[in-house]
Amino acid sequence: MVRVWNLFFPNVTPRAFTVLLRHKEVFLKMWKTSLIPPFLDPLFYLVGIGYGLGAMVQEVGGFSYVQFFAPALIASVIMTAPFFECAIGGYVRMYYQKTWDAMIATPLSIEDVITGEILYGAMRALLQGVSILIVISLFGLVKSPLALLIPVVCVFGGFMFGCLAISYISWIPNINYVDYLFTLIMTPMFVFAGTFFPISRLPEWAQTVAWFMPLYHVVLICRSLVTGIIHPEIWGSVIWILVVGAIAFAIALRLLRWRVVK
Amino acid sequence: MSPIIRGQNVVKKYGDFTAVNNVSFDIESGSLFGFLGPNGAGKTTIMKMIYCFVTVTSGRLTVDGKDVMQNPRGVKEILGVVPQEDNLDPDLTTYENLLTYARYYGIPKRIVARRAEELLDFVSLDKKDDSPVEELSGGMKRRLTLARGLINEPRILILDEPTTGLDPQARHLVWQKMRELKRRGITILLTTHYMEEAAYLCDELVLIDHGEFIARGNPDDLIKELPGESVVELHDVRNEDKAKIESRLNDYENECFGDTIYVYADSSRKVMDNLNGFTFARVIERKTNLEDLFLRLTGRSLRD
Ligand SMILES: Nc1ncnc2c1ncn2[C@@H]1O[C@H](COP(=O)(O)OP(=O)(O)OP(=O)(O)O)[C@@H](O)[C@H]1O
Ligand SMILES: [Mg+2]
Repeated sequence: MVRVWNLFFPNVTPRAFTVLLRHKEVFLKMWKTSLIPPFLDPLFYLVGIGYGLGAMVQEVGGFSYVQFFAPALIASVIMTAPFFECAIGGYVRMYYQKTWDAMIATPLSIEDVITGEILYGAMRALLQGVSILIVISLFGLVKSPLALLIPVVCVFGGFMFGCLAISYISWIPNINYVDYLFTLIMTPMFVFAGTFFPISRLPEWAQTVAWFMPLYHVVLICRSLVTGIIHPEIWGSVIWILVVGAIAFAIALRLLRWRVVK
Repeated sequence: MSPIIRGQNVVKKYGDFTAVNNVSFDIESGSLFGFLGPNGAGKTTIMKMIYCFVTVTSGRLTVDGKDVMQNPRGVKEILGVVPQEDNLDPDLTTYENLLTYARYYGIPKRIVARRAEELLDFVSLDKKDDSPVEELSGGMKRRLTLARGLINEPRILILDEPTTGLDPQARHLVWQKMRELKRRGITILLTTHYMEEAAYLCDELVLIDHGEFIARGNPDDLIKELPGESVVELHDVRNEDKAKIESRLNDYENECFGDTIYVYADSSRKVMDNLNGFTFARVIERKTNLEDLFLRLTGRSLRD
């Protein structure tokens, strides 16, 4: 068991949690700026798009538009929270603040540090995802007790997105390239992965592309859990996230060692 | 006594560039060992290999019997590191920096609080414990980095230019602390560009140039390798006089650099007897020192 773990995820130990604790402490100092804006953002979307635009839209797959759209907001922060944290925060700590350099002079390995960063991304997804869950439940949009499983989706989904974002920064030469992650990867997913409209509206080929988008599967699961109407492909999506998450984690560890340890 | 750090044919390449070229060294436990050399010589690279920050390209490097490539965690556990570039955690306060760092070592909380206070005391930062790191001056940051390097009670302390940028008071403080740590039996590795500091502190040192060792030994012994015990410096020599002056100084080892001629001689009077008719803005007679050796061996021209 340990040997298999080490084969895929070398040098990762429970010490990674000490990195997570460091991030937690810093977060608690600045929670006003790090929690409130990302929390207000989806609220505007919910009211503006969900209710405003949604009023002009007919039902989508048997749901009112806002009912269709609200769970996708949870899914979207499961993506955006770790993307911002791991890509921008990660790059700043890696390159500008040299926080990682200081950490790996201790018994922490670079893999411990990376794991801590990704876990922190997952925690940010959890925090923001749950906040939105609470908000939409206040609007009466949570229809099933299965929504209590949303935190689990936040953690696993957030972990996967954290791995992707951290992998991305391993090969960019400067922080401006983070913009490409946002415009070429995050925004298309946010728009096309079944968030604002079902992917069945897309041409056949684009539906295939959407299936390869991690966000598509997170949206599908969130929508199933919040509405209580389980999509027939949900187990496929659960496995998709777990497998891609594990592969992305293994890749992230290797890429960042390559980037940091010369 | 067996060496606590041992390098055998250590090579470090960054791509095609060889930063450290086949060096071997033994560092005795409890000694204060210096790495000197011009900018880009490879001092930091050697230290980074010892604290497992960069890989060893070839050769073998062990710390307390543990190979740095095989068992980095075991090595790092007994090391304290003060890197050349400060990398304190700017999101935390002075005190929190120590607490957080201790956690990376897995030191129990109740021990840490006391130790952190003692260390802030030790580096005279006890009044700054609540200050964000960004509000500390450069010298205070350096001292905090030293305290941080001691949080795990290391057996070996790596100091990469610990006194660069410090005022004389802070520098003397750091020197005292280094001697105090040495008395406690801690092995100290030091790089510095201040030769008087190296001469004053080091039991043994190596002089590095272009990734190779060009001299090693005890500072006092190394100085004895110079051609004399004293140097006479002739300042503000005019270019057209240089050749004439040097021809009159055939009996003495001398070097010319810019507008100054350095003559290895025991007495300025004897030198001046040979130089009747010339006047100099300033003539200084002083004992030879490590800096003379450094400049003699590495050349006086600037490094890139
Ligand atoms: N990450 C790196 N990639 C490529 N070359 C590097 C890297 N780090 C250092 N070097 C090169 O290796 C050589 C040795 O650098 P090092 O930092 O060890 O010098 P140093 O002796 O500590 O110099 P200084 O006194 O300026 O601190 C230099 O030529 C430097 O340019
Ligand atoms: Mg250096």
